[in-house]
Amino acid sequence: MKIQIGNEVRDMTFEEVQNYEQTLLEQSIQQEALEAKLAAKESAKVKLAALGLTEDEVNALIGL
Amino acid sequence: MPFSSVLGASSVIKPGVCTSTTRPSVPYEGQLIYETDTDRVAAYNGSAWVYTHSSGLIYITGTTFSAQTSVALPNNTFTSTHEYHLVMMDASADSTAANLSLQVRDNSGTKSAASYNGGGIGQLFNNTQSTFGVNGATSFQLMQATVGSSARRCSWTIYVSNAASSTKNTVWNGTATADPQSGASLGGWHFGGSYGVAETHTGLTFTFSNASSGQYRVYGLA
Repeated sequence: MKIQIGNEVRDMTFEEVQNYEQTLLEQSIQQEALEAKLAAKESAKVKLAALGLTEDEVNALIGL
Repeated sequence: MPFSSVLGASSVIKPGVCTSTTRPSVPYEGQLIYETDTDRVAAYNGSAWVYTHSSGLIYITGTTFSAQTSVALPNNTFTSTHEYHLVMMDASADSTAANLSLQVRDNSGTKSAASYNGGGIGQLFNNTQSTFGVNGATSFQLMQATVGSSARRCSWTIYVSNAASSTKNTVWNGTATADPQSGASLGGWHFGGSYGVAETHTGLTFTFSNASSGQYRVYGLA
């Protein structure tokens, strides 16, 4: 695994590899959370529309 | 001696060309130099060297990167010379979409304590808005969702404050934009965050989740 510092590209140290893997893990967790939030929003829009709300009313409720 | 050895890029002697550590030791008032390490022109005013361009945005460093997953600004990019720094970067993932995170660093390496806080709000191309927030993370994500599929360029403008201070927290805010793409992918993003430990930082480390290529430029606000 490599890291580029300025113009120098070198192998990562053990600590840098650990940090890189931890960062990827956080990225993955945050992306899953975002996708879950977006899916919940879409689901809520469908259910609210089924209750008879107009599109403008739905958007007003969920903050669009 | 051929003429090309006297004049031009091949000349043996290049008057006025030096580095910030090899300036003329006995300069005369009005002498001009060009520093190859800072890429700045300086003039000797009779008592000190002064940069001819010393206000506004001052270019500090920049480079390109190719097929990298971890890119760091060089040591001493952030110094007390400037309280505020502007980092501009653009990149695209080489083959598989990538996310991008930011961490502060000092000259001994990247800071990975669980002290990154902040959040953001963004617009996705499916006409959906989204927000995020983190407290006590070990990095700060500059962009969420699928952000940089192959050849899809994304750009970031990051404004960093207090980095060189040992008593103030390093704080950043900025924007991200991406080339158009359909679906739940990012179009524009605004973010802000801080590192919860008040200490001196000399640069940033960027982590891409997949190999990416691009460039960055760093400026100091004088």
